[in-house]
Amino acid sequence: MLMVLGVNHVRADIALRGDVALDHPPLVAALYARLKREVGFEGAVVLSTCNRTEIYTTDALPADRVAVLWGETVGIPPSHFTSAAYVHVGEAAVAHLFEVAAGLDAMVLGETEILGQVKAAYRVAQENEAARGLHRVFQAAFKAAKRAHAETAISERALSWGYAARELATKIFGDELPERRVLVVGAGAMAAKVFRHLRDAGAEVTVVNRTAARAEALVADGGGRAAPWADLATLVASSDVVVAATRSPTVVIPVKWVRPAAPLRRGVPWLFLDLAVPRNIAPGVGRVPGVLRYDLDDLEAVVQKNRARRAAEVEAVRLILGEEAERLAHDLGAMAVGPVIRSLREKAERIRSDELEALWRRLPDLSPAERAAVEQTTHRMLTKLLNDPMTSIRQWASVPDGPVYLDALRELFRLDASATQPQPD
Amino acid sequence: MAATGAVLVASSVGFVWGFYQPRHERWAAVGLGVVWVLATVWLGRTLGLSQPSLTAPAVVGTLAVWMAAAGFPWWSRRPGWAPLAGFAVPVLTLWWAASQVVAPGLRAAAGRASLWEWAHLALLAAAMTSLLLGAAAAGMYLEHERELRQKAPRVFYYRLPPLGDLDRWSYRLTVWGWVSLSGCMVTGGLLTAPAGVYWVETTGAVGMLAVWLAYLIYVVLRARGWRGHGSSWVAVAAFVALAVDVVGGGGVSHGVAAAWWQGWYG
Repeated sequence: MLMVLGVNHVRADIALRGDVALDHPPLVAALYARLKREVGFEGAVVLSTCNRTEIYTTDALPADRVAVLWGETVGIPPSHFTSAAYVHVGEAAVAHLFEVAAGLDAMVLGETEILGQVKAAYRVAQENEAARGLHRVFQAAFKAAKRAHAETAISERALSWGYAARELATKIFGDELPERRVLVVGAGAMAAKVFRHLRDAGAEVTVVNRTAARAEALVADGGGRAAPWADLATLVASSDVVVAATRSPTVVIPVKWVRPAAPLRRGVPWLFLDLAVPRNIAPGVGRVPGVLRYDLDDLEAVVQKNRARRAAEVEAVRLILGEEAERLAHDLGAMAVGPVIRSLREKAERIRSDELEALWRRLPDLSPAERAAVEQTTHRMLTKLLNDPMTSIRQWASVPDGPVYLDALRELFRLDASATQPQPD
Repeated sequence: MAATGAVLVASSVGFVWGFYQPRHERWAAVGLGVVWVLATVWLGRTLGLSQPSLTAPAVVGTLAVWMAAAGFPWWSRRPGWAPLAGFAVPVLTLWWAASQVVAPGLRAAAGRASLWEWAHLALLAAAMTSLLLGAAAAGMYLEHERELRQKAPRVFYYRLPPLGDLDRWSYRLTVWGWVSLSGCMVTGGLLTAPAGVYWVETTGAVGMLAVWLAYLIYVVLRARGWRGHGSSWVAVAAFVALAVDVVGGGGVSHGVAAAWWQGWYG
């Protein structure tokens, strides 16, 4: 059974999340070592990202003990974070892990980065030889998350202004974007974000900034070129996508630069993105035929709409996660009944064998043919007798009370408990 | 034919509803598959028998439906192109319905339909299908552009391909359609050549020539770099003119070959 103890962005502020973070490999290794040494548990995985730190273990280890070990590892008393922490056990823990992996519990709904982080955390646990008993549940979480991303739109659509700018450019130019001329005016934080998004989309980007050195620094790692501020009017007229994000208090791209150039484009759309406050691109530019002009308010409207569309996918994702959780429960149930069936059959076979040995001693004159006939008869009796119970036991793999029935069976037939426990993967 | 019409109408409704509920597009696609089977059977019987009831518009209309339905599995799988059916199939349905009722007096004489004549009709159907899909892609462009201009993302913002792709495919389909239309007109003239007739001055034939010239101007302008909004409007308007000519002006029923077919010549 799975247990998770964690702190995330919903219940803890950034300072507390930083205090309890297990993001340094030596810290994580130390925690794994202590967990293994102290309790001899069957499995643990430590997940630590900007937005959460969570410790997944089998429930053989109590949550308060995990909290103590966690606190000692990061050097703060558990009382400092337990009020903001949450504990989930059993099905709730599995459901939580599935939601985390699928991005439902992320700060940015549906983000895919978290799946990579969960995989990395699991890999580290394997390297520390600490994940043996959690193999199936984590593999099921990876599969569920992959299905969620592939079969729904939970991870589609931009949720940031920078990415929304790239999405808009792609919606207009599609596969031709790498062949289109893109101009970024400015070299501040917003301009840098948009520059990187457009560069990653394959566009050849020109950056213009009043301070040329900052433009050159921005393009230093490739994917673009810097141009002098004096060429701005010419560059605007010859670009297909113009992004303006400077700190200028006045308009830097007036209508008079755009209107004469618009007819020369012969109908090719012209995208202007004004990501500055106050505006860098004159509002009149949006009224020039063939021009699409978006400012921050427009982009925010797109982002809000995208967010709503992602939220509308949550139910569909939960259905998929539910299916995968059910499949996992069935698989784990099947793992649990296997040893019981084997043990019951072995016990019955042992009794039959012992009784036959006693019979041969009592009746030494039996011919080999008679012995074979007796052996076959007792074997058939045993098989017929166990047939119905075996069928029922297999069905217990998928019923909620299955573990209780298995315990009753072990008790009833005095099956060796240690021999009937499922072996870890 | 009633069954084909009913399934086509149901498919059209399904595809339009699919704009808002994409999962319903599956049933509309099944309907289009059924239409393809029905059209294949009808065309097979018509080809085999040269039925006296055969009328050229009905053959062209059914051939166009057959071609569009046959191509559906290919173009609907291209990312973002599934909604094309919602734009094209309702228009196709209207045109098919009109093709079944116009020029009821036009009959092909038994034994007259040769492979050459079938090629003539097939080229016209291919032209109509291609020009229809080109106009549909142009319509998608205009709708997508309208949503982008309004800055209020709705269904087409999310579901349609990028403007650049729509513009490119609208052009390609229109060029293919125009080339097929040219072939159709040439084969029509060749068919009547033995009778010494190459041209008839009917409203339909003159209208068809005017539409062909309009498409020629479109192709030339596109080749010279013209794109986007205006180009899309022309593709839509030219197709509307073509549809009006074919259905209302008798572009098919009063063309050169059709006149010959009717026994006006030879």
